[in-house]
Amino acid sequence: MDKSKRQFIHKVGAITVGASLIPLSSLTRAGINDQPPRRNGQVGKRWAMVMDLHKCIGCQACTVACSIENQLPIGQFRTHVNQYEIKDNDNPDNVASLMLPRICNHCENPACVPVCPVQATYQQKDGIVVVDNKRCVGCGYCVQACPYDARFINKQTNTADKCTFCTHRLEAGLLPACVESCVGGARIIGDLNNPASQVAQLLKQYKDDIKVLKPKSGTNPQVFYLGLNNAFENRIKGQSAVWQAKQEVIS
Amino acid sequence: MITEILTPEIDVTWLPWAVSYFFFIGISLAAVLLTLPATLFAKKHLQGVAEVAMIVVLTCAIAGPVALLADLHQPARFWHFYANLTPWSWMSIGAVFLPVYVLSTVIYSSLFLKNSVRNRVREKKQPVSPFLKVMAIVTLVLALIIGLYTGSELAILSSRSLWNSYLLPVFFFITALLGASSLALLLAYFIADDAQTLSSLSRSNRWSAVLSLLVVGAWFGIANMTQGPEASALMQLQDSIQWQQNFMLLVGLLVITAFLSFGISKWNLLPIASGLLVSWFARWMIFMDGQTIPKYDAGFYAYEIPLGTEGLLGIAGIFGLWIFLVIAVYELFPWHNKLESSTK
Repeated sequence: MDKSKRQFIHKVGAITVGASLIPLSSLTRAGINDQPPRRNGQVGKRWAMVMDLHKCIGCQACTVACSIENQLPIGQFRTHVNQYEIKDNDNPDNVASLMLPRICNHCENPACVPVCPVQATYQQKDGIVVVDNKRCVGCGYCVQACPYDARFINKQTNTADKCTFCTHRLEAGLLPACVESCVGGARIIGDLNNPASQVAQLLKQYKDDIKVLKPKSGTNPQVFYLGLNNAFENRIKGQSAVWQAKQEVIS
Repeated sequence: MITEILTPEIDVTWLPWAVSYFFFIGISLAAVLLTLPATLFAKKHLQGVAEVAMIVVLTCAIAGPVALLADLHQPARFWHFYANLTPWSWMSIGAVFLPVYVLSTVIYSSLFLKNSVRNRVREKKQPVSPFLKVMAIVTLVLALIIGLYTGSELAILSSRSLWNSYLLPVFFFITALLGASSLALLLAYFIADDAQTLSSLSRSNRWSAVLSLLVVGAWFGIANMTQGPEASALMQLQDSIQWQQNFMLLVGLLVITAFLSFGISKWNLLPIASGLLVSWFARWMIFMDGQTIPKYDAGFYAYEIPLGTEGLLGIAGIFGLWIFLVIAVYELFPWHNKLESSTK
């Protein structure tokens, strides 16, 4: 073989090896458990929700609307309203109730995204965290990683399921089903990047009163609560009604 | 005083299949260590230990991933792991290395067991081949990677403070070594039956039980002295009667195993039973009971083991598979039968 041919083969070999490494290098941009790049969604927007607890009456219209819109199996919910009774320890006659709407927090640093072994769960460029249920293997790792119990394995699809802020409706210019159906107007959705949006205005107006769930978890949730007592920021320290009921049945 | 009036009941996501996977894969990778003195360092008196441990390595390396596949809610999509490689996810890293580890154990154990049968039949014993030594090192490295990934997969989850501890991979490994010693002892009773093997394995049983106790003690120490996830886990669990019982059972079984493994004698199956039981129970407690701890709600969720494939039948099935694999390997490499026929 003459010298020029040999050099050519060497160069082709080097280029081929180099080219084969390109996709690998793009894959390894994120370290273990780092956030991968966002994809799809509406560029330039950052969807967020404000829950005004003063206005929530616990009617569960949002729960029902979400179940119908997203065709969820019976007994599984992407959103629901927890109900609590709060008794004053010093004065037991002083009883109040709290309605706490729960939903995926579409965190800025979502714990569920980097753990997904097949990149089925990802964050869109508009901040919404979604699941590609045609790719999801149903390993449940994201369900374990979510600090809010906002995910579940859908009993019908056998894949991970969660709130998507009804991204299909937002893209069509509609409100999410839960917001649309809320009788008290307790759920407000909007684009944080737009200073004129109601959400951005509320966050500015009530800067000192706005709270999120588990603020120290490092997830930076983007569902904000107005009128949330400190006792409800982290895991509830109290009586579990469900547990009590079960114990009574057993005994 | 807060009382929950209406909250949803959250189901467990990882089923008992996950416990079976972590039980078998942990035992397999820990049993690799038991084979190394004979294969890597030519310790002839530990040849019997390596023979039974090798069966454990191979059979558990096959049974474990079957359970893992069953734990996927979409098992037919397992190929998605390879079509969508995700180097930033521990589970994806594990999916890449797991089949390589299984393949490595098949080659390593086949080479060793074939050589072992041949040595029993022939008078002239062949030394350990260089290729077997290479396979021992390769399998050891892969076993360490599998140990690292299985432990880290849980330890990184800050959502569950019980799992979110650097001690968890260590605890998994040490209790897996206890399970591996116990399982190898069980096989040794039936197929090896020599005093040297039994005493070496019972020593391993004893020390891994003692080390497990030390790791449990270290966890409680860290939980009491720091403000980390261990402390919040202990705070969450200390008032629960069920969790007090869990911890007492774990410590009690480890103490019993350590004591019983001192004077091990033929047909004394108690240390083996308690060693295997504690290795299983440690994983059951961390996985299944761990998932009943709510991340936000008060109290605990209820879990009752179902009878079907998602529960008891699944566990029975995977143990049945393991027994089948032991029989298959024993029939493929019947060195004891050959020994008997050659001495007649």
